[in-house]
Amino acid sequence: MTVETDGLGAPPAALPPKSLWRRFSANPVALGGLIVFVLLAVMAVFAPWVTPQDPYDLSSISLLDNLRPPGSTGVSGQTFYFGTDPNGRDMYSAMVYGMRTSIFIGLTSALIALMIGATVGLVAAFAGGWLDAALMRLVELVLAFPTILIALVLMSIFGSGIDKLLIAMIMAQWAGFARVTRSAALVEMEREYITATRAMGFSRVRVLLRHLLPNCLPPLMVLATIQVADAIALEATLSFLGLGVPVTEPSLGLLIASGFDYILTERYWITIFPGILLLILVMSVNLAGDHLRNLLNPRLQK
Amino acid sequence: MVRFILFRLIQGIGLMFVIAALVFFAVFLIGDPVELLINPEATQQDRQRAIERLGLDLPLWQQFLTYLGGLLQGDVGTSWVYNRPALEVMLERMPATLELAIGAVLLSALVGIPLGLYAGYRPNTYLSRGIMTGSIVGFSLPTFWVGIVFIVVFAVELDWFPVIGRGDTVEVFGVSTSLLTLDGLHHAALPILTLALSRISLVMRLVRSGTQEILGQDYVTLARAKGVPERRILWRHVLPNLMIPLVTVLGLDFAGLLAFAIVTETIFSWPGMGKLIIDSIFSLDRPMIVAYLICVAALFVIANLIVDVLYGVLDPRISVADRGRG
Repeated sequence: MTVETDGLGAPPAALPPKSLWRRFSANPVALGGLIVFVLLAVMAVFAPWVTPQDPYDLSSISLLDNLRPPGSTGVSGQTFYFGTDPNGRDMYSAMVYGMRTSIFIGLTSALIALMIGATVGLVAAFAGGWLDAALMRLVELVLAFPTILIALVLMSIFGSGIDKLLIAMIMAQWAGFARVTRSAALVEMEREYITATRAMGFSRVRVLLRHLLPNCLPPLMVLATIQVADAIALEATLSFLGLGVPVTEPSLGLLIASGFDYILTERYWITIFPGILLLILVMSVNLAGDHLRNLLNPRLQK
Repeated sequence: MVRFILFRLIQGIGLMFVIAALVFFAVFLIGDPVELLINPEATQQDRQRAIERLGLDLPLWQQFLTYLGGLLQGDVGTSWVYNRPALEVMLERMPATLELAIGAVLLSALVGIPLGLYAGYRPNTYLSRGIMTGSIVGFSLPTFWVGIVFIVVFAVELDWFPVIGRGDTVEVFGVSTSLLTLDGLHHAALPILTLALSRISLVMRLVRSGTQEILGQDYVTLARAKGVPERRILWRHVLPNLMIPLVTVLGLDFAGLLAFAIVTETIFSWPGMGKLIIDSIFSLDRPMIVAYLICVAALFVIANLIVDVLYGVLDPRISVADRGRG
């Protein structure tokens, strides 16, 4: 896959979206990743219509059905293709509802972190001086610690709840976006078009939002994809440790944790099935993101 | 060299001060400090006494100074669960965590470097493509799930490895380790592999892209023109130039390894700092949480320092002393 560069060897300017999409979809693995993710997301959104029961509605589950192996028949005659969990929930339904939480939290936290990070990064690059220095020291401090540790400590202070989980995850994720935006913005600000917009007397806000931000988007898109995958895995990990989603809410991490107590008795399905779903979910995003990074990284376009 | 190390040490102490301050404000400003710091089961009288003993009736700046003063003497409070200085309990657990982390770093280098070199040297073979896709699987797999699958496969089904604890340990210079006994290694194998899996992917990808970049350099072309054997080009020209970014990433990521050790230790009941912090979070043992964060910050500073010194060893062009002045 070759891309034309000008004779000076400078990286090509941002590509029009159509061409990007064509080059992205030319890679079957990346396209497959994207399709799988979209399918899973559609399943998650329409969870009540694609699952036989609402596993978090107590009236629809029966404790008599607990810990049934895959393919067995329940007390009211239904078939549990993926078995049931210790509470008698149909594993398939519980997994789809759990995935709903995973995708919601992954997308929401990464998007809000992106907005906060991009704003901080743009302001730092545009303002320069002490504000830039102060913001970047803060970013470095946050980045020095792994996201999981920050989120874990914040959750131990906040207590559990989906809203608190979102806040903790955003606080752990925004700094990466801020650093990427700032370095992209600093490169862009050296270019002639920014000087031109200034010469034309555009307001600062207009230059920032209409001219600087769109040109900083390619690296942000790559980071956002990776962060969505990371956020989904992070949520599952925190929930598994008991510091994420509260036990009354559906979550893949919680399902895996509830099955963990049973793996020594060979009731593997409670842990393994949601784990495989989680893996497919995270991998589909990563496969698409990995290819997107190759496409948008000017250093690899030779 | 000495000047440089001193410079970085002072920087590190500065960083630890900032972290200590953040921890103070997190514990004292978010939420009611009385509720956070005093055992919720205490009686009203005990509460009053504890408030006075801990100085919680003093103004905030004075409390902060007391906290910092204690910190300088290595005292971050007494654990409510263990009834001993929290830092002391945490430090006892540190060797168990460090051996997992160091074992994982070594394993990821041993496995990741050869695979990455190959994938970068022959990027279009099926094996290389397999390695690259495998690396995506490797870092997509959440650590906790990897651990569970290892337990199901290698401990429950195949019964090759034990699941719980550290096994036999020996004392080396007063530090207990299970990496030097057969039984200990047997216990440590699965947790280390679990922790190392995502790092192996990381090293592989880093080495691969570095190899591709270096193979395009003029000095490699020159070496080939001179008729230097390919094997020698890889080991003498490519690998040494890869060491700097590799050491940077592995060193800076050490804190990440400690964080994921929390997950690994929880799953394998490994008695390290990570298991302790999770237990402490659930028992609301706040001094323990403070002790953990201070320990992680200190390890982070030390890892950075080692990385900086290694730069000078690995690349003769870098004079460490110069960097200190810059």
